[in-house]
Amino acid sequence: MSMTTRETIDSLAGAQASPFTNPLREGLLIERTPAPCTMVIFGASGDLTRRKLIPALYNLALERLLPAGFSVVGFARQDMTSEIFRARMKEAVNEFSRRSPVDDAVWNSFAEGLTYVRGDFTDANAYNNLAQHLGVMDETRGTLSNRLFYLSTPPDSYDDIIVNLGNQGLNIGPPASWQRIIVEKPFGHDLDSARDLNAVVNRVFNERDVYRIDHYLGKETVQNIIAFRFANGIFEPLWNRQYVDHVQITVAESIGIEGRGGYYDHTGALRDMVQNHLMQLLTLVAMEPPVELTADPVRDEKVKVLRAVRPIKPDLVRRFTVRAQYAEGYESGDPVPAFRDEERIAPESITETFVALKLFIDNWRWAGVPFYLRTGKRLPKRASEIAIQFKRAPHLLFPGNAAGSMEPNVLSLDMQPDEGISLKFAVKVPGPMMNLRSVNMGFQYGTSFNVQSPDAYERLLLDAMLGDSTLFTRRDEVETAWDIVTQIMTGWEQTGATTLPTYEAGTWGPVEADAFLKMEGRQWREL
Amino acid sequence: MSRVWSEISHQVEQQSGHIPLQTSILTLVVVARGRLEMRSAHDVLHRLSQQLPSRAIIVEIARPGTELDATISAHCQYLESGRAACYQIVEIRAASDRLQAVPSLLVPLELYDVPSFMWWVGDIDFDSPQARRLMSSAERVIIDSARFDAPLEGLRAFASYLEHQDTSCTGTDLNWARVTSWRELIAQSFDHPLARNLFDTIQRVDISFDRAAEAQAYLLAGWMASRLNWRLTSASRTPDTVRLILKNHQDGEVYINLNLQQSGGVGVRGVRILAGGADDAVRLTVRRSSDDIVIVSIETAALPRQDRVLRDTKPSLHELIGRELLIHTRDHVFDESLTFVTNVVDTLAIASAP
Repeated sequence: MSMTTRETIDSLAGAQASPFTNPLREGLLIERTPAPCTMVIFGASGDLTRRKLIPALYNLALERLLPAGFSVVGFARQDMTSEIFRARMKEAVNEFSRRSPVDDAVWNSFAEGLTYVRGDFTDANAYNNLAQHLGVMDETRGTLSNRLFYLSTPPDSYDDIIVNLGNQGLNIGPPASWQRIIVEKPFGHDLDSARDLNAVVNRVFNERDVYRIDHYLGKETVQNIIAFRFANGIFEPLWNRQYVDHVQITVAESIGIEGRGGYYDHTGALRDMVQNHLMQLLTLVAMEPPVELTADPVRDEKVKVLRAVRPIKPDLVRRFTVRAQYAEGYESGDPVPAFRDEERIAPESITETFVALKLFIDNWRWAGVPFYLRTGKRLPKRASEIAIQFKRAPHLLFPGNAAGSMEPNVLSLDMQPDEGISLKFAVKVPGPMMNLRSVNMGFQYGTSFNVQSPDAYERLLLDAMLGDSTLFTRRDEVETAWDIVTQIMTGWEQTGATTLPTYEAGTWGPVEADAFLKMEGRQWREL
Repeated sequence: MSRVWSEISHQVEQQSGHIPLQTSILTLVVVARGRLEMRSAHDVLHRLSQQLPSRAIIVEIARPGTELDATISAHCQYLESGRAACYQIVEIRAASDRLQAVPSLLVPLELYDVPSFMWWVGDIDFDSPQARRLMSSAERVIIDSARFDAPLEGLRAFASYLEHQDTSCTGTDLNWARVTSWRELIAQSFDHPLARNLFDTIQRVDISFDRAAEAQAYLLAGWMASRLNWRLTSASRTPDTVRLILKNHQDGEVYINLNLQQSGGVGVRGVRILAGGADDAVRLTVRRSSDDIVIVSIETAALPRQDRVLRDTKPSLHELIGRELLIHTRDHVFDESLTFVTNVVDTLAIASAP
């Protein structure tokens, strides 16, 4: 009974090396709990920590999914004691948790592990303090040198933090322990910067310990794309060029830039949404079945899709892309300014707030099938959808007026605001005449499983603690997506445009976007 | 049924602008006797409809001589999203001596191609041919041994019914659902790196329980024993304790003590597991500190004691049933736990025989 904590950790090396099967877990629907660990949040005084991270961790505590001894160390420049940090985080949980008000008993236990270390991201001494603090946590809370570092800072601090973690040896630990890092998007702002960032990260952390987070992948409905496609035998035979006319992926936002003018003017819709969220949706809807539902097989298939995306060479951007900015208009009845009139937006800005793309995936399954992607700010409503539009029946038996209001079959996977799946098909209108009409057969999560879905961050933070990177993006995935997007950006630069088409705020985008599909005999879906 | 559904759909559409979606997940047959059980059945169905929209058929067992009677109704309630969750209820009132006629009514009323569950709200006479015939029409029977006059005898009879009936009917007990939370917390305790390899070194398990929760304690013991392949070698009883001696698969002895508490609650109060050797002893504890708080602890010599303070609110009846309705297939973990309970009851009966 005389082992020290360090000896205990060392002795666990053998135990953790072998796969562990818990016979008591059979038949239970609860996720396993991770090993005791400390999560270090860089940028802990920021908005993401307050709005998402701490509420998500607290919700995990409520759901009994956090391990014994779980601890959080907030690290930021702001001067603050651990007591103040705890008080602020409690307020944040009350305000932003889906399970507010705070349950005092659970909170008090959770908050025992919340501490704060003040430090500048560039100051080597601060990391020395952090290392000592983490050593104390291991001794007092039994966290076994397991660390999860979370970069919740502006991207320009990433390099300093990662290098200092390496210099301080915080990226390594005893054999049985783990040290992982979660990197928030954006992962670079083009292909070169993404490669540079990845190089820095991988000099300090092994790729298997790097978790690039795109919160979209943590959404229940996004994960359901995989379930829908690969758990149902009836759709797979139709899921290809032989039956699919085209695919539309829409992620529409009704909000504007929400005070993030400085950031957004250097980013734009292509970088902010397409490179990550829309590309993720594209890969999930287009990928081949993975050999198993684990991290690398899934990500291998996603990368194959991205590699098969036909590049939009700079001279083709006018044919395959539309970009635009919102002009003044209305949102929910209130007048809103034009993008160029927003705070911290350059008056001559040509940053796009709307983008539409036509992509082709050059492989056997999808050859010749266009994938239309669109996203924008200040659109009429918040809505996300993947719509698979099938080809029309090869021969219509019905007279023209009978089939007049008949539309093609569409399978729609809805992610926001109402999560569900619907299928459009034609039926006969009751009566003596053969009149046809399209109807929707819908399934809504809200009316079928009245269970509150966990927040995306809950799922992703738990997965990172458990060492499951399936829902995180891998280095090659990020770089391949950037390669596609960077070529489009290059093409846009080469056009020399000084203004962009505009669309009235509160509408579905510029007329150019409508014309983009109309000339191919298609139209955007009305959501 | 179609006409009732059509009328209510029309009303909902007029009020909300949405046609109510009808998702069919299962048919639930509820067997109830008397006013209290009927009220309980209606209350549960109303709450369950949000979670599992389905068709429910209530079979009310009435006094002998009552005429066979049936009514149909449809109910919708609006959810936060503005959409409506709807369910249908068919109520059949049948005299206790006419129950053999009921299965012929159930078959055409059950939804096609989805599982059929049967929940008996109260006590069951498993020796009654009429009750057995009614149960045989379901794919899965849910009992609540907490409502039995003699829960352990009832569980034994249920086990015997499941073993000897000639359909593929499976079963479960709401007392089993009541210990799910305990099973989860005990299983999670062994996720800790210091506890992962301790299954073969468990020496002793103490389960304390309130008087009304004896069946829960037995099922919990049965669960651990069956999952860890422990064989019962002897069982003895004192007024407050049942002591079981078992052998693990390496022939090591394991003791399980079921300790009756004189507290006024209705559940398991705590579980303490001792494992490891002299140099690496580990004590895992799950204990209820108040009505809705449990504390899960791991104690070793090498690390500071680690506690998890967790909310554990007593699940309502509809939540318990809702959980069991999610299991469509045979729950062999329950079956094996039930077999162990039967074994203990039989062993104790032999030990106490004059």
